[in-house]
Amino acid sequence: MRRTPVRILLVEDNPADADLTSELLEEAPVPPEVHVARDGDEALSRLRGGRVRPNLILLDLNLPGMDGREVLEALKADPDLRRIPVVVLTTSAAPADLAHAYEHHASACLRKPVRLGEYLKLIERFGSFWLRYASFPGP
Amino acid sequence: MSRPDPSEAEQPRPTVLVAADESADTEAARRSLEDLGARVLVAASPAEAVTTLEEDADGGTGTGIRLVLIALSQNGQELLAMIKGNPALRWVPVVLITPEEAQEEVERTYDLQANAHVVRPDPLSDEPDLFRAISDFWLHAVVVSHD
Repeated sequence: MRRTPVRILLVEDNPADADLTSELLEEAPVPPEVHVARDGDEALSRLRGGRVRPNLILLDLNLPGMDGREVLEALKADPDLRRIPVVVLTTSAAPADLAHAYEHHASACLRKPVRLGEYLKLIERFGSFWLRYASFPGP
Repeated sequence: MSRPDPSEAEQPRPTVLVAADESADTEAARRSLEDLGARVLVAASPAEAVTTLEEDADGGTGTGIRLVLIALSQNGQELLAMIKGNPALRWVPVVLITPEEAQEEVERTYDLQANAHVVRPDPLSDEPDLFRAISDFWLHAVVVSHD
């Protein structure tokens, strides 16, 4: 079982949602180190510039400018970044969005619930696996 | 071990395929996951696992199996490559459990498109929380493309 914090890049344009997700992740037994990028361009810029090297990327699909689908494609086409597991967060119920995400090698897709209690449970479930048991590729 | 969330009790039991070649591992995984409400299929080799997946396939759009848990002592990456290289099966999430956190092995696992890698507790039966975490996330949080 992991005893060191996982480093997460949370790509989320909505500040309230980013704060909520970060706060919920803080409740984990070993809280992760969370970095937030507000859009896809910022995420890719920080990753490619070496300013953040996360173990895992938590990616919202609906982003301004370059959206989450394009960010995922760019990540998985980049030899330096493609191994980083990407967990997609989406409010979309469209099967095409899920198919696109898995086609481009997202590790998992999570549907964002509207209710706070359900979102809390979702983040707990995310943390129970990824923050405690998963192994990650090296830098 | 606690039972599944009552709000999920009416939903069909999610199916997990456990690929393991040590009977103690198979039984630890089966017992833990069944206690958590899953239906568990087992395979002792890559060929048997692929046959099981193909038999369970649902019209080529995905399978009824929600997760493949590979805990083979040998040929685990071979099975992973077989699943992710098969257009009818590659959508199924695969978690690979290996004995050591050798960085090269972890990287190779992600190169082969594993959905996740986990270092194997020894013995596997000593870590029931691992199966709860796997069940909570992969069976009750993740949405797959054929949901």
